[in-house]
Formats: sequence, C-alpha cells, structure tokens
Amino acid sequence: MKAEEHDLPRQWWGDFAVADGESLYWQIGPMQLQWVNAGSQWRCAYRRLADVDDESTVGWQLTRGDATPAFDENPQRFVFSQPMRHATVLPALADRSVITRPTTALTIPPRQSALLLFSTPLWFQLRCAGVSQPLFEVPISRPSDTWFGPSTCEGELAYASRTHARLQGEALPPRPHRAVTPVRIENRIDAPLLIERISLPVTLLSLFVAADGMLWTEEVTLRREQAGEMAALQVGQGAPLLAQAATLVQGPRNANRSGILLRAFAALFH
Amino acid sequence: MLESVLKFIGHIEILPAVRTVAIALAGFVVARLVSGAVIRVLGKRLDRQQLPILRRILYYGILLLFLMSALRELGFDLSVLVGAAGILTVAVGFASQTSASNLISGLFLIAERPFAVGDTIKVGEFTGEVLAIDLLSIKLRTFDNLYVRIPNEQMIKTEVVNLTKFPIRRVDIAVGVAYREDLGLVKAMLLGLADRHPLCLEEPRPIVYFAGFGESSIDLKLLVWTRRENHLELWNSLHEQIKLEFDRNAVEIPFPNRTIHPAALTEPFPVRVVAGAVREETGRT
Repeated sequence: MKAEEHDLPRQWWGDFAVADGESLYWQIGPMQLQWVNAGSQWRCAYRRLADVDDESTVGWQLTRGDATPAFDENPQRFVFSQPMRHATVLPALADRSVITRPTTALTIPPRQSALLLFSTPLWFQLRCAGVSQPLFEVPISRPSDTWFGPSTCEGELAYASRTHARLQGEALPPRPHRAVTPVRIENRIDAPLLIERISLPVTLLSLFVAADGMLWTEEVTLRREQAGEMAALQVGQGAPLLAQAATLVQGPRNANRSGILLRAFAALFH
Repeated sequence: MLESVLKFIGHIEILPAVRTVAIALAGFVVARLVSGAVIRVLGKRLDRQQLPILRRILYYGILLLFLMSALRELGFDLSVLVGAAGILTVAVGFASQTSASNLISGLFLIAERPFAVGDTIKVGEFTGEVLAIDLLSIKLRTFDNLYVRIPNEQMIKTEVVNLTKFPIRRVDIAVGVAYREDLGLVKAMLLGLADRHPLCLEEPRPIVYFAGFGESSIDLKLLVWTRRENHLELWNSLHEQIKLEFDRNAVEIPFPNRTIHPAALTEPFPVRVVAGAVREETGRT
C-alpha cells in the first residue's frame, strides 16, 4: 500500500486538494478510478480489472497526474458554478444488507455461541469539501445482487458476498476494499444452528479504521431465541475490541437501530 | 302584455325563491369544502383510486341533500319524486345492467386491489401499464403506446396477471442442443453464464432444467432470477451470450431435421435439392 506523493493521506481516503488541470488516480483492490479537476467541472471514470478478484490482497495506490484521461469507462461529469479544488473521499459500507455465505457451512451447537469475522465490500464515495451528501459513489468490487427471504414473494434485495468466516485470532489478510465485522452468534435454543448464509445489516453499522489501517465495523450480536430465521440484533457501541486504537471514519447509513428483530438466518428456498 | 307579466311575477313568492337559490348555492359550497377537507385528512391512508371516488361520493351526496332541501323550500312534495324515482330506478336498472355490473365490479376491484395504478398487467391479449382504475373500467397503456379500456366486469370474470407485483421475477430461456452434445458441459456453460451475468440474482440460484427429448434436439431450460425492472434486459442479453458461448465452444443448436428411410432394412438415402432443374416429363422446373 502506498501513496506516491508525500502530501497525500496515509489511507486511500481523506481530504484532497487538486489544482485545475490535475488529477488523482486510485487503484484500490480490483478498481481503478481517476478524478480530474478541469476548473469548474470534475470528471471521474472508473473500471474494474477482470484479473483482480475480490479475494485479492493487491492493496492500494494513489498517484497525482495531469488531466489526460487514463481510461474512459464509466465516465461521470460534475459541473460547478465556480472552480472547486477540494474534495473528500470516504469509504462506505454497502447500501443494502449483505448476505454472506461462509465458504464452508458451519454449525453452532445448542446453547453455544461463536465470534466470527465476516468481511463485506466497501463503496468509494466522492464528496465536495464540506458537503455531507456524496456526489458520487461506486462499489469498489461490484457484489452480485441476491434475494433474501423465506420465499420469492417476501424478502428483500441484498448483496451477496462470500466469506471465510474466520474465527477471532486468525490472521486477517489486508484488503483495503473490504471491512471486517465481528459477529457474535448466540444459539440460545436446544437445536443446532446451521449457518449457510447470514444477513448482515451493514446499513446500520459505522466504519472505523484501526491503527494498522484495517477497516472495521461495530461488533454485531445475533441472538437466536426461537426456532426459525429470526434473531434479535444488538449493535455494539463504538469500535470492536479487535480493532486496536480505532477511530471513526463514517457513521451508519441508517441510524435507526433500536429493538430490531430481523431475519438473519435463511434455510434453502422451498 | 306587460301588465300580465307583472301580475304573474307578483304571484311568485320572492322570499322562498331566494331561500331556495341560497340553499342550492350553499350546497355547492359546503359539498366542495367538506369533500376537500375529508380528502385532505384521509389523503395518506387511501390510495390514488379510492380518493377521487370518495370525493365524488361525498360531493354529490351532500349536494343532493341540499338540493332536496331547496326543492322542499319551493314547496315540492318529495314523496312524489321519491315514488317517481323508484319507478325510474327499475326502468333504468333494466337498461343499465351492464353499467351497474361494471360499477359493482369496480368497487370489488378497488377493495380487493389485485393491482394498482402503475403496475403492468396482462388481461387477455393486452399487456400494459395501468393508467387508471375507474368505477366502470380500467385503462391500460400498452407498450406500443395504445390506449385500452377494459370494462370492470371483464376484469372480475377473467384471469389478470400482474407482472410487477413482486420485486423479483424469473426468466426462462429455452435452449435446444444437438443430441451429440455433452449435456454436463452445456449445463456448466449455461450456469457459468448466469453466474457471471451482473443482472442475475445469486439467490434463488439459477437452474438448468431438462425439458425433454425433442424431435430434433435435447431441450433444456435455463431458469434465472432477476429484479423485475431488469427482466427485458436480461432476456435479451442472455440469449445473445448463450449464442456466443455456444459458438465459441462449437455447441450445435440444431435446425429441425428429419431422417427418411425408404424401407426398414435399407440405409437412408440423401436428399439434394438442385435449383433450376427441369423435369423432362412435364417441361417445367
């Protein structure tokens, strides 16, 4: 991971100043993005590399350049009434729940609990300096759409993501385009809980950065107190203990997270 | 002449006439105000079909009450009118059976809500977007921009398919491959395409369904799910991609073919059509 210029932040996000006729170029995981300042307009373009998948640990790069477009896929253009030199770039969690499927299904025996680490994809947000709403946001790696619910009539659209569901203490590969969520699953009934897929309500979570640069969310507790798919959700306060010396990067997309009972576990469709 | 007119006017009592007009005008005003107020209060609880109907019922109901009071003020005996209205109702009822049926069917449709304005539905041969659900009929706009009016009675009696009721929809793509093809390979190709396509949902999982041994091909169906607004785009692009993938891997989509045996124990003979050949017997081509 590196920033080519000494005046650029130590992370791929932050506040940036780009003079007229200059550009910033990011490579984060599988995505390349260029932001060009052309006086009263900004031009952005992004593309994803086919040979870099979501599991990749390529890291990130940030370089300054001139206004020459590096590529022209997915162009975006923003026009202002006066020249704008300052922008804020932030990582963000997904705008829908993420359905994570462990690469190997796991079972939590009756009256047991486990702390698992799930990773979810991040979005790249570009904002004008001082404005809270993003001007433009794009997923760094585009997750697949999926449906989560007991039937095709009832449920919600979500994103699908694969995860290794590592246990606490296992080494986590550094991936700047994903955030880690510690999920404590408590099985409080007398039947084993088979986890083939789990719905993470990431819109309710905040994003923190630890001292080592890894991105984390709050710890989430899913408490299964009755048979079926429903679970009581509890979101921890602040950064998880596993994130050393973490600071807040961005708050949740949806701040209303009290008393939520959500459909967290799903059997196969019937 | 003038004296006769003045004498006639003198017999008309002015005060009741003024009261009658005042009551009638008040009826228009009150009906408008009350119906508007009720709609504003209930605006969020009722939908776009129910609001105008409720407004009309309130407006004309209140207006009718005020007009009846106005007529009583003028000295009309309303019992006579009621009697005449009863007889008229029977006559009108016989004459307007269809309209009454449509009206009742419309009320049932509004209460049952199998679809709403903005939904895409299929009724008989017509598929289109619902523009309005009125008391007597519904109005559709077809995809080639035609305006279709369907009586409510017909809507109650026939099957109506709501294409946009649920957020996701399945796309079924029929594919026929030659008998000589490796079915496992074909299935893997189709599922791989679905897996890579950005519009295909990961869940419910895509399925390749064996449809049967066709006359000229092995018939398969690729069943994939997508968001309902992406249905057409996925339908078009998947067909294209299947064709390209099959061409890349030399998988044959066979034309209909027939094998003709002159007799049970002989080899089949090849048939070759030669353009421009002339038959000697008839002298015709």
